[in-house]
Amino acid sequence: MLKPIAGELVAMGGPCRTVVGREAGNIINNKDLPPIDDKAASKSLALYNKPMELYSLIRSRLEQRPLFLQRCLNYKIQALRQRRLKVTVQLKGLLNIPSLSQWYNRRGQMEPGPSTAATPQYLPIFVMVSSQPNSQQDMFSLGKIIKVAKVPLVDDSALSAPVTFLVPNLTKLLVLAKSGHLILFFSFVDPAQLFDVDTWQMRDLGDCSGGVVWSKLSMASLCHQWLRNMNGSASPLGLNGVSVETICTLDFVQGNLQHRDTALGPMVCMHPFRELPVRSEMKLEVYAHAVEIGHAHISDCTSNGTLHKRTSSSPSQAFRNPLGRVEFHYQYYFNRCEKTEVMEEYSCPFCFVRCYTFKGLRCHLNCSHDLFNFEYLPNADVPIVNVTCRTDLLGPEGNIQELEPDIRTKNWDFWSRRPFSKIYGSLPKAHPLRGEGGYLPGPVSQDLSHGVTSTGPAKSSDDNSQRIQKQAMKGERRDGRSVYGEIPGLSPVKRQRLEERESGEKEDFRTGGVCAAASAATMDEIGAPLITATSIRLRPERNRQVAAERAEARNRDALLKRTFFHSHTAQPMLREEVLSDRDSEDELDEDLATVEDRRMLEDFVDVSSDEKDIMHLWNSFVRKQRVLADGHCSWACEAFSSLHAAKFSSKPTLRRCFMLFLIKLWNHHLVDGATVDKCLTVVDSYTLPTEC
Amino acid sequence: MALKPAEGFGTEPVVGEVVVDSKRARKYEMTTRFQECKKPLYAICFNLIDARFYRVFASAGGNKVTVYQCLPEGGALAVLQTYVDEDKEEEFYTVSWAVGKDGSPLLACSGSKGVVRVVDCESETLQRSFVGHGGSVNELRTQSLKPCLVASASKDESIRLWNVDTGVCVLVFAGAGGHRNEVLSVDFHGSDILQMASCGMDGSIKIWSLRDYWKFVEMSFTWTDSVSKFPTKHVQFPMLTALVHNNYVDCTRWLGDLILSKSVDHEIVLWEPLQYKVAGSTENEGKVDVLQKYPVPDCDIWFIKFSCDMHFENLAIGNREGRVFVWEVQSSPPKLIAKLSHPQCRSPIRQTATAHDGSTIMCCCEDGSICRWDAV
Repeated sequence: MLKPIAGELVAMGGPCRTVVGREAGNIINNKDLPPIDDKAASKSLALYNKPMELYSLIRSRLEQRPLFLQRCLNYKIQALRQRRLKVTVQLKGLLNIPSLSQWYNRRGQMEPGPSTAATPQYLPIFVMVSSQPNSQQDMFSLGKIIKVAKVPLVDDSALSAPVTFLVPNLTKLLVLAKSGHLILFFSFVDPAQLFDVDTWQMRDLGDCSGGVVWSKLSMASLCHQWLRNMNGSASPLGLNGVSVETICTLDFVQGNLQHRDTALGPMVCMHPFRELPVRSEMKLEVYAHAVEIGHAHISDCTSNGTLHKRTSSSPSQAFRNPLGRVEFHYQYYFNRCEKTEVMEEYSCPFCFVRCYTFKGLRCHLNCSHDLFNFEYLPNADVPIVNVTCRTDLLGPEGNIQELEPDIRTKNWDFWSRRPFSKIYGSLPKAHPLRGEGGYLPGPVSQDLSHGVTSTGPAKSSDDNSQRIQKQAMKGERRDGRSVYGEIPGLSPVKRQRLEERESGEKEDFRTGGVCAAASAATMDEIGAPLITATSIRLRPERNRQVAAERAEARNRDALLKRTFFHSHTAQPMLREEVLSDRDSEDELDEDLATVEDRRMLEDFVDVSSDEKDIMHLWNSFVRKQRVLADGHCSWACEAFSSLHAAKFSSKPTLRRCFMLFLIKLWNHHLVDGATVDKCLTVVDSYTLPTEC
Repeated sequence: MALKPAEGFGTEPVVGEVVVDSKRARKYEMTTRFQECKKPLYAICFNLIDARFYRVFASAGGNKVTVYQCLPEGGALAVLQTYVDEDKEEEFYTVSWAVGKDGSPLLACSGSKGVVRVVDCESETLQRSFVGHGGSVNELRTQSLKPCLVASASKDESIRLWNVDTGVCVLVFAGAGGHRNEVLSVDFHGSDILQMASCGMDGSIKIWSLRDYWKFVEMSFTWTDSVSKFPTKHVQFPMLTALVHNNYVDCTRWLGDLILSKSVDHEIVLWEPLQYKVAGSTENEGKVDVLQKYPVPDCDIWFIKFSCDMHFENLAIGNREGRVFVWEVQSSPPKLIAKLSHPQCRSPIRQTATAHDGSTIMCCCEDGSICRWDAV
């Protein structure tokens, strides 16, 4: 079982958890009380186990599957948490290259402009972080970061300009150092190699080659020196925010710089002059100043990857409690014993979320960890949170009890005037969450040994869950003792809760049966002179119900007896006719429309009867088929001709009128020639159906 | 109260004189007067449909319809049947005779409730109750050529044509071209089965044609299916709309192809509908030629209906003062042949009934009395 003992949670904690200290159980106020029963106390303390376990499950699930926003902003967090090394290299010392200095002096004199006199003369020295693939050969990769350090020709350290590098990943530094990374320094002997003669502008390094003086400083030696300066106490990768400074002397030698393209990329070759022995041309002192940056940001980065500005409501509090420590007192055994845990940065002790302020911590605890009661004492130097278990939610063994649905929704039914039970009567308690219940909507953990049935202390949940997942993949299944144990993917918490609920339901049914028996008894008593309180309560309901039934029956009878009238003719209708959906108010009377159409057509005097017939047929066709748009016309013509083909083919004058009508439509571009042809073909090819 | 200018030949209408013509004068004598009920009687009607019952008439008032027989001697009346509606608030406005399928005399009556009751007088049972009108029914008329067809003119601005045999509502004359106020009177053409005339409170007289809908009328004769499934058609446009009067037109009768109609201007107008078919005109507000006028003094209240004998020789109309004027219809100029008055009869006469030969004139008064005038 999980026990909140010191150091135990650290193993489970994430990287950002900071547990400063955890004390053993204190005994408070034990003077006037009976002596502590150790067994009972440990039992009381064990009440914490299940909620802690649940919250750790949630936390581990969150770590495996972070929230969407956190998942998306993870790269930002990573970038902010990366430890970088800022290396500042400063070159100092006397340049003893007469020719070089003379030349540069001369150039400075030749350079026109008034500023030259004021500005001191510099020797440009290229500084480049590079790697040496082969230690035998002086071939260095042409790095991307090439900086130019200006070494003053006069020996004045104040004038020397430093060069700053940023080593992006501190953890890789040693690896890089071992693989031959170094800092390369070189300067061209002949400025003509470097400067364009005409414009006195510096050329691109890729175009420059020729005699140089150069030297190198390997990273390994630099790191070594840093380590030595740290007195060897700290880990090589953690400078812990302390800046380290090393000084070393570099010997510069002469050589010939050449560019070369190799398989490893562009390289710079330093060929020693053949005729001249390698000798030191000049000596320079290198001040390497390294400081780790980024480490300071770690604590300032919120879970969303944004930089957090430490804003405390009271500056004095921030002053008094700069690390944001909070003491958590876990009280147990009737609040007589407590265990203490101290968290930094106002972190939550259960899920290690940094809340940054005490108020934030308060909100977080209240909304995320409702299995505990919290008592906040913010006024001390180190704020104190007293934690107690909620006995209304936790069973005697610490099991998380099923919350009744109405408890959860109780706060939400303010919009309904009457409670649900009053509207629908006292229904048996329904469990709408059955099969879906539980706090954890997904497969939080496949850890079957992690539930209530397990007796051994739980190890890291990650290990267990992986193991069980493997088991599940192999198809093995631990046979559960309950029916729910056979359901794969059912978390133990869920299973336990299901079992509990089932037993609860059984109890419900039992009590419901008793209630039914009691009510039946009171029903019998209604006729009896003795009227119990229960029956008095029951009677109005019963009467109301009967009255409602009667009213319903009466209404139904009235509805059946009632005469319904047709909406057009106001004639009484039979019941089956009413129900047959024949009477619709907006239906068009086809005969009436026909009569009206005929009547209106009769008013025309200059139209022959055949034309009137065609008009009438077409009008009724259009009305019936709802030909509305121009686009319908060609279809309508074809359907019309096939519908009345018999009429048209039997009477030539009618056919002629139809043809004229089609031509009229064609004139108005409502139909095309093909349609006209098709219609007439339909009419002409019509043959009388043979009489059988 | 200027009438519309005359069309046709352009001649002025011939107005009869309210003086009994000495040559044509006919002597009438009140033989019977009795109080039927306290409620006003609105309708009285001889059975001119069936030759067997020419002397039988029915009167309607209140929720009661009474069938009488005119006995030949002494002006006696025999009460044959009385039908009382269960609904005490019913007030019958109109009554009409019809003939059932087996020749039994049917009595159709209707009134303020808008329900047309059809009583089989032979079996003395209620045969049909036609529901459908949205207001009171002001007049019922029977198509004498097809005595099973009954038209009802209603307050709901519509006219319905019923088939009392099969019980279907054949046609509804209402809609875009229909009346714009209560329909007060309706009449079938005497010889053309396809024409109907109606008039109403909107002052117009409309002539309807059944030609386009005759197949539905024929369908109704043989309809055996459920009544409610009959394809009742709406006739929206009349053949002609004539504006002859400037006020309520409360009675209209065909006289051949001419129409007799009366408003509240103390006169009955005989006019001829012209130009049924006006080429190219959608609005057929027809032209009329007013031919003759039959002045009726003290006849300025509405719902006073006149009646003619079967041959349209005599026309009898009561007035507000309880007097009856009998006109010779088909003479020009119209000749008043009798002016009937009785000192006991002072209340308005709502309707008269003329026997088939004009020898007997029945009057129903608003005070609930019935008078019988017999030609001497």
